[in-house]
Formats: sequence, C-alpha cells, structure tokens
Amino acid sequence: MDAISSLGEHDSPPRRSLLAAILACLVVAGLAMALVATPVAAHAYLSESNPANGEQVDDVPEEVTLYFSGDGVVNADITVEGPNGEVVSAEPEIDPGDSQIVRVPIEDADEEGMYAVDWEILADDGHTTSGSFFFAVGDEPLDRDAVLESHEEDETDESIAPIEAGSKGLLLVGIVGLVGIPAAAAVAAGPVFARGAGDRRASLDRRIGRLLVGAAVLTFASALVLGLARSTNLGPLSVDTVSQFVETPLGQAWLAQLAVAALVTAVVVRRSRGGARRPALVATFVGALALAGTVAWTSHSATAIDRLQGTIVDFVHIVGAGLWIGGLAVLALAVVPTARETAVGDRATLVADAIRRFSILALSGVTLVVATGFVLASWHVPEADGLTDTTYGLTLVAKLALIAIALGLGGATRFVLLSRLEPSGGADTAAPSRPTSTDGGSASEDGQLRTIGRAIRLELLVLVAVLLLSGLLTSAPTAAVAEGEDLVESTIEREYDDGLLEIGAFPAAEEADGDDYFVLEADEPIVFEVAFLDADGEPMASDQAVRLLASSEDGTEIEVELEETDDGTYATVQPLADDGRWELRVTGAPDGSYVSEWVDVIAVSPDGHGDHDHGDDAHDHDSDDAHDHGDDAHDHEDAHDHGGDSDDSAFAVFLQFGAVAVAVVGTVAVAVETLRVRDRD
Amino acid sequence: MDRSVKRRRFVQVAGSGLVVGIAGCAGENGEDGDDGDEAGDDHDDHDGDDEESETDSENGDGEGLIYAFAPNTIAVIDPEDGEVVDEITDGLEDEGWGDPRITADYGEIYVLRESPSQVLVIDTENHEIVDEVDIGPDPTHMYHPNDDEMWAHADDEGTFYVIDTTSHEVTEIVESGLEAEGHGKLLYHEDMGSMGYATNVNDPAALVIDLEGYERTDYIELENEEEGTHYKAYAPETELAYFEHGDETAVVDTESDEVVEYLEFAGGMYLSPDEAVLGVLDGNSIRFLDATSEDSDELGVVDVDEGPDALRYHESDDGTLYAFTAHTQTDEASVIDVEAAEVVETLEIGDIERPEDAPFLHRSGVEGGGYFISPADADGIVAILDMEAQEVVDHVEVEEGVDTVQYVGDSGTGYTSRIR
Repeated sequence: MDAISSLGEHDSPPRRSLLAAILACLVVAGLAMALVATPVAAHAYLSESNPANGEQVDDVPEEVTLYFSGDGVVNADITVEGPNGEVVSAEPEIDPGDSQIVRVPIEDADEEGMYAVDWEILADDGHTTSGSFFFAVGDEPLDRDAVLESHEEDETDESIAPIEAGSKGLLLVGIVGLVGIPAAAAVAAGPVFARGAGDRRASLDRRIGRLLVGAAVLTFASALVLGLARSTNLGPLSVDTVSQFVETPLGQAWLAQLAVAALVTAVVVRRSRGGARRPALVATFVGALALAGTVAWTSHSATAIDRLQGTIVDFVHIVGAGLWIGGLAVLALAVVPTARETAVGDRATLVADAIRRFSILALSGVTLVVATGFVLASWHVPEADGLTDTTYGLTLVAKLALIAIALGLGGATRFVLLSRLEPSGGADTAAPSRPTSTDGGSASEDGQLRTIGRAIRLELLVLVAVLLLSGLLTSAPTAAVAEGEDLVESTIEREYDDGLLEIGAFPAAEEADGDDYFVLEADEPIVFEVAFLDADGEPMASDQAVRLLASSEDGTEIEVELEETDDGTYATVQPLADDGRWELRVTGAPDGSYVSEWVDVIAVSPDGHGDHDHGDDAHDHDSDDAHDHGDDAHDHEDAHDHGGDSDDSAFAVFLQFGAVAVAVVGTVAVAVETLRVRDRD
Repeated sequence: MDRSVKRRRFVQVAGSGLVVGIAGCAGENGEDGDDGDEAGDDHDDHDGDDEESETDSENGDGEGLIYAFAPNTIAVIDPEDGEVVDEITDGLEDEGWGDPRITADYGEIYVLRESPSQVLVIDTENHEIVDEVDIGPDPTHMYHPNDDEMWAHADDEGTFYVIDTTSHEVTEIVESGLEAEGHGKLLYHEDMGSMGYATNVNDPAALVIDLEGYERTDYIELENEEEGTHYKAYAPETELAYFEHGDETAVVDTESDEVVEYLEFAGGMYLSPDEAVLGVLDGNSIRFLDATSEDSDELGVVDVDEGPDALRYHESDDGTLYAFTAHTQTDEASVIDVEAAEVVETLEIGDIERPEDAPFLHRSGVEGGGYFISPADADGIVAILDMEAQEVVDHVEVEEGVDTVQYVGDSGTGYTSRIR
C-alpha cells in the first residue's frame, strides 16, 4: 500500500501544484534568460601576466602574477628561473578571492637578464594546461631561441582522457536518472497506476525502485572514478595524490558529490527494501538536485564564465535533461513493461495516460534543456566556425543531431503513435482519430504497445548517447578557449639586385598574404628573422649591421640591430606594443649591396583575430625609396576593427536570441499541454 | 634593446652630448649638439664669385629662395618679399631634420630626416619631395664632395652612406669610424684630390678617407686617447687641416699626415670667403686666426658673450670683412668687424628654445644672396638680415620648431650652404 500511497495518493492537489510550479519555473527561466547579458567567454588559459610575456623591466619584480581566463585554477606548479638557470621563485599562491589569479613570489634575485616562467596548472574543470613565457630585466634583448622554445613548450591539454570523459558521461546519466525518475514517478506514472489494482502498482513501484537503485549506484561509482581520474592530473594515483586532490576546490566538490551520492544510494536501497516510498522519492529528488549542483558548480560555465550565472544555467540544463530523459526511462523501463502485465483492455489506456502526463514533464525538460543549451553554446562556441574547427564544436554538433533525432522520436510518439494507441482520446483533437478497437482487439493493441515501447526505448537510447557525449563535451576545452591559438610562421620575400630578402615573423596571427604585410599579435614577443639569399638560396652575410625599424601609425618607433644566428640569418625579438598599423624597414648590406625594404604590419590584439580589414590600404613601398608622399599613401582611415572584448559575436547573439525564443515558445507549449491533460482528466 | 628611437636618441644625445661637450660643440633641445650647418664652413674649394654667378644664371626657377624646415612643414621663402611662397606638408609629421645640402646645379636639396633615418630629395623647381632614400641610423651631417654624390653620416654606425645624386640610391657604405659608431664629419677640398678626412667623436684620430675608393685608408693618431675629434677645417694656402680634439685643436700637415701643432683652444671653425681667416668659436669668444700662416697666428679675439654660434662672413662693398654670428643666449645676432675685432652691430633675429636640461644650445644660420638667414624655433620664424646694410629685412613666420634652413643658390665660401 505504500506503493500506492507513494505514487497515487493526494493525486490532484499535489499534481496541480507541481504543474503550476513547473510552469512558474519555465516562465522565470525564460525571463531570466531574456534578461541575462551573457558574458563573453575567455579566449586563452593564460590571458595575461605581470611582467608580461617579453616585457623588459628595470628591476627584478617581487612577484610574477599570472592571470588565467577560462576555468579557475585549483593547483598551480609555477617556477621562475633566473638568468643563470636557478629557480628563484617560492611556492605559487592562488588568489583566495579570485582563483584565476596566481602569484609567484621571487626571492633572492637581482641579476639582469632573461627570466623564464614555466607554469602548469590544474583548472577547475580538471584540465591541466602548461606553458612558459619570458621577461627580461635590464636592457638585454630577449633571446630568439628562448622565445621560440617557449612557443614549442606552450601547450594546452586538449586531449580528452577517455576514463574521465566516460565516467563524466555516466555520472550525468546517473544524475539525470535520479532527477527524472522520481519526478516522472510522481507526476506521470504514479497517478495513472494509482487508479488500478494493487499488484500492478506494486509492480510499477518495484521497477521504479530498481531504476533508482541503478541510477544511484551508477552515480556513485562514476563520481568515484571521475574523481580518481582527475586526481591523477596531480600525479600517479596514490593516497597522497588523492589527499592532495581533495584539498583543492575541485576535490572538495568531488567529496561533496560522493557524500550526496552515497546518501542517495542508501535512501533508494532502503526504499527498495521496503522503506518509506514517498519520503524516499522526495529525498532522492532533492539529493539529485544537489548532485546536479555539484556538477554545475565545477562546470566550464561556472569556472570560465561566471560562478553564479554559469552554475545556474548549467544546473537548469541538467535538471531539464533529468525531467526529460529520466522521465523517459520511467516510461520505457517501468510504465510500458508494467502495462503489458495488466489486463488487455487497460494496457493502452494506462500507457496513453502516462504518456500524456509525461509529455508535460518532457516538454518542460526540453524547454529548459534547449533554452539553456543555447545560452551555453553562446558562451562556449561564440563563433560559428568553432562548431567545425574544434573538438568541442564537433561534439556539440553531434549532440545536437542526436537531440534532433530524439525530439523527432518524441514527437512521433506523442502525436502519432499515441493517437493510434488511444482512439477515443477526445481531448487530443489534433490527433487523427483511428480507433485501435476497429483494428481487431488485443493483437492490435499489443502491436501498438510494442511499437510505442520500441520508439520510447530508442528515444531513451539516443538520449543516453547524448548524455555520454555531454561527458565528452565537459571534458574538452570549449571552442572559445580553443580559438585564437592558431599562431603561424609568416614570411615575406623581396627581390633585390642579385638576391632575395626573406623576412620572417613568428608567431604570426595569419600567414602573410601576397607578400604584402604581416598580421601579428600586438604586445607579443615576435621573432623577426632576416635572410639575404643568393641565387642558390644560400644565406649571405651582411657587411653592415642588419637593422629593423618599426614605426606605428600613432608615432611609436623602435629601431633594433639584429643578431647573426648560427644558420646565417639575422634575428631579433621585438614586441609591437600597440595594435594597429605598423611599418617595418629592414636594412642590411649583403655582398656589397645596400638593401632597404619596407613591409607593412597589422598588429592585432589577441582578441582581434580575423576582425581586421587589410584590404586596399596596405601602402606600397618600393625597394629603394619607399614612401609616397601623397595623402593616399598613408591612409590609415580604414584601419581594421578590433572587436572589443565586450562585444558578442553575431553568432553568439543569435544563440542568445534562440534561448529566449525557445523559453517563450516552450512555456506556451507546456501551458497548452497542461491544459489538455487537465481537460482530459 | 632599443625600445624606441626617441629613447635611443635621448640616450645617445646624453652620451654624445657629453663627448661633444668635451669637444666643445654646441647643442640644443636634446638633439645632437653638433651644428650641422657649419659642416662645410671650414674650407673653400669654390673657384670664385665669377663662376658662381655664372652658375646662378644658368639654373632653375627656385633659385634665390630659402627652404625652412619645421616639424610639419617645409616652407619655401622668398627673401626679397619676406613671404612664404610655398609649403611642403605631405607626408611630414613631427619631423626632426639634419643637414640640408643643395646639389651643384641647385636642382635638388637633400636633407636628412631623423626618423626613419632617410634622406629626402626635394626638387627645387617644383618645390616637392621627389624621393626618399633609406640610410643608416642617426644621421646628422651630410656632405657633397663631388657633383655625383652625397655623403650622409650615420652616427650609430660611424659610416658614410654614399648616395648617387642621379639614381637617388645608396651606392656605397664607407666605414670611417674606428669603432663602427660615433658622430662624425667629413673634411674635403678640391686641393686634396680624392682624399679627405673624417672626424669621429669616439676616435682620437683624424681618419683618412679615400673618396674614390670609398674606404678609410689610414688614420692619424692624436695625443689624447680620451678625446675624439669633431670640428674640422682646411686652410688651402698652408695645406694644414685643423681638427677639434678635446679642448685642443690638432693641426695636421696634409702632405705628410703628421701633427704639427696643438692649439690650446678648440671649437667650431669657420673659414672666410677668401680662405685667409679662420674663425674659431671658443666659448663666448671668437678667435680669428690667420689661415695663411704656417703657425696659425691669431689675428684677434672678440668677446661676444651670449653664446655665439653659426659664424658667417660678408665682405662689404668697401672691402671690410664682417662676421655675423647668431646668439644662443639671446634673440640677437652680432655683426663683427673682423679686422677691428669688435662687435659693430646687434640685430634681433628671434628666440630659440632653451630647455633647462640642455647641456649646450645651438642655433643655425646660413648666408645666401647677401642675406644672413637664421631660424628661431621658439618664435617659429626665420630671420632675414641684409648683410650689407646690417639690418633686419624681415621675420618670416613659419612654424614653431623651425630650426634648419637652406638657401637655393650660392652661399659663397665658408658658409653652411656652400656647395663644396
């Protein structure tokens, strides 16, 4: 009788209040999303440092500060090596108020020269990133090889650990089940089966109980594996490593997750062994929400975008998925099998009623999932090409495709298969009236049930795949982070008397286009390399110092002498401090010739890739006398547009608009569906 | 690492300013303390007024005009009317200028642009910049030792960039300094043939340059290893060359390339049109030496005070030799009767900037067409004096910062704008 009471008692009032609550939630969610100004995702893990990469400072700083974008830092391994190769830094300290800031004190260092900063951090999302940069104390120029080496060593952990991704996917499956199963049991299955015989109610209850136990065990086990897998980012799996891990915020969230999962497991196991049904369902649902909260708290959105805003959106996303997918699991694995055990005439009615009630939950869940999904996409895939150029984007596309299939299956079930199953469903006037009884009784009914059962199971299967892909997504760097790392070597060639002048720049934001100009990142140490090549392509020595003069449109001028390298070229490291247009002049005297060549440079801010317009205003310098004094020759009016950091891309705005539209349309759909069910009841 | 040209220049100015200061060179506004305009003043290789007049009459429409170089404008001034008749502004922005030089046919003016280090070529007939020639860093002085070439000295490298005046291309690079750096000048005279001498503030030597072989062939060591060489002059009558060397002047016999004497004073040296008098700026005094004397006999000393600079000569209709000098400490110029060794007139020529931290001040002045012409950067004017009448003709407004001028035509001998 417990089962009956748990699933069916207090039928109408609680059900209506629950429906009203769902509707209210949808409205609130829609409004909230409409009002939320979505922040722009960060573009790189190490976004800034002080001293900056390549900066020259007069004195050794007391500390080096690293500012990370993307996820927050939970563990940092950072060393600063002085000019003589000795480590001069103390233990790094993560800012307690902002985990994206790490400070590294420098001790006992006063030498002039190059200082190398090697960093490796474990982010909130469990990813390790590493890299290095340099700064110089005194007037010594940056060393070319050191800068090149720093780019060779820079790496972000874009590989996806299969154990981590798999366990994260399974964790999501478990949590989604724990959210949706109690909800569907209370809203869809319980009220329908409460009206029937006790044995079928008990049968349904047993199945739901088994589902809950499975989901809880899966949640606990996958959470355990996920945490252990993440702890290995700090070192080989051991007690010490795990101890170190649990001291991090990520590890503490993991402990909380494990504790809640264990409690929920205990509750559902107790329930399956005859404990109180209804309190267990409520406790399970609450526990599932807490688990969803822990996942959301450590999500990309929370750590990389905004802790509160990201957590809320991600939490709603998971809960929405739970209502849809968890409820579907009840339908597929409990309602339909139980219905098939009942009297022939009741089967179709039971299943149809359950589907109708479940459709409210499903619509609510879909609305929440899709609306928040648009918001998440606008954060993590702010540019359309991120969908195709990154692992994250491709995974998201696959996920979206599967969701589309699942929606198609759900729609078919709701609007086609359901009408065939229940011909007398007067409330559903939109569905074609096609009485199953006229098709020949129980055989036809069983056939319809099998068909609808298969459709629901297939939909469930597809959605489980979606959840597993979500595990993959949450383990991959977002497209926003993956973007902007596309630095290349760029070379411009110019012919002179009897030779060829090659000017190389690394790293460049783009390859040189038509030998006209470089596109380089402003404020980034750029290795400029110059080679005078003879007819055989062999480098020639310059009789005079090889010089690089750089002048910006706003008047900054730099002139440096390049150093000869072992391979016969001449190189220097020089940051271009301002974004905008620059002119470079390279002079040298190879083999008795005096060579002076000008090339244009467009220096872009790190966030300005692809925004610049370098069409028709690149001015022409000929080999010898370069500048044209006409006004048109130095026309800087059409300088490129450096998209401001705070500007959302058109694609991101489109996604945000989609979120609002889905929230509004979904809310209306849920309201309509609720009215239909109420009228039918 | 050089962070910027401005910073580099500041540092270099501080460094070279010290050296120049020791060498006795004037300077202003944090720029190189050298007077670019004196570069050709120390000798006379023109054949005389008759030939010059003939040359004048054969050349273009721009003759007789003055080019005044300001940060954003090159003003073309007609001294007769005291008016700006044209301006060149395209492509100019906050420029710093070095020596201007006019070609032998007066058809083109070459002027040094500080950054980017270039030589701009100006067509004097059409009043327009026709070319830009990239040269080495930190150019200050330029010379025109023959009709086909301009020699621009890149102080950062201690080298001369030889520019072909027909193709406007750098055809040779001559390493003159011993240490591949340092502010330098070139001394040449037709009596020396293809040989010349260079100075360098970093080298305690007179550097022997083969003007046709484009190389330094030798150098004459001077006594004080701590001092470089800077100003220079040549007295064709005695074949003696003079080199400023610290607070002394080394006198070198150009036949033997040996030092024959060290004079106990030093400074900018300016030869009179008849090549008989050599004026030496010795602090606030001007010493006039007999350039025909083997012993460099002193003719007289004039205490000018007020920082005399930019010495120019004028032989009046009555045969009296006058020297005009622009002051750095006042807004005046003095007119000196050389034989009487006294100041006979002072004329108002406008004021210059005098930064408190400037170790030395400098103002330039040229002669041409019977005018003494001196820019005043603080007032933004160019003063034009009638040298015969010893009076101010006009103060022509140009632009603040105007600090360099070039006369189109013959500037006579021993003057800044002279050809050679």
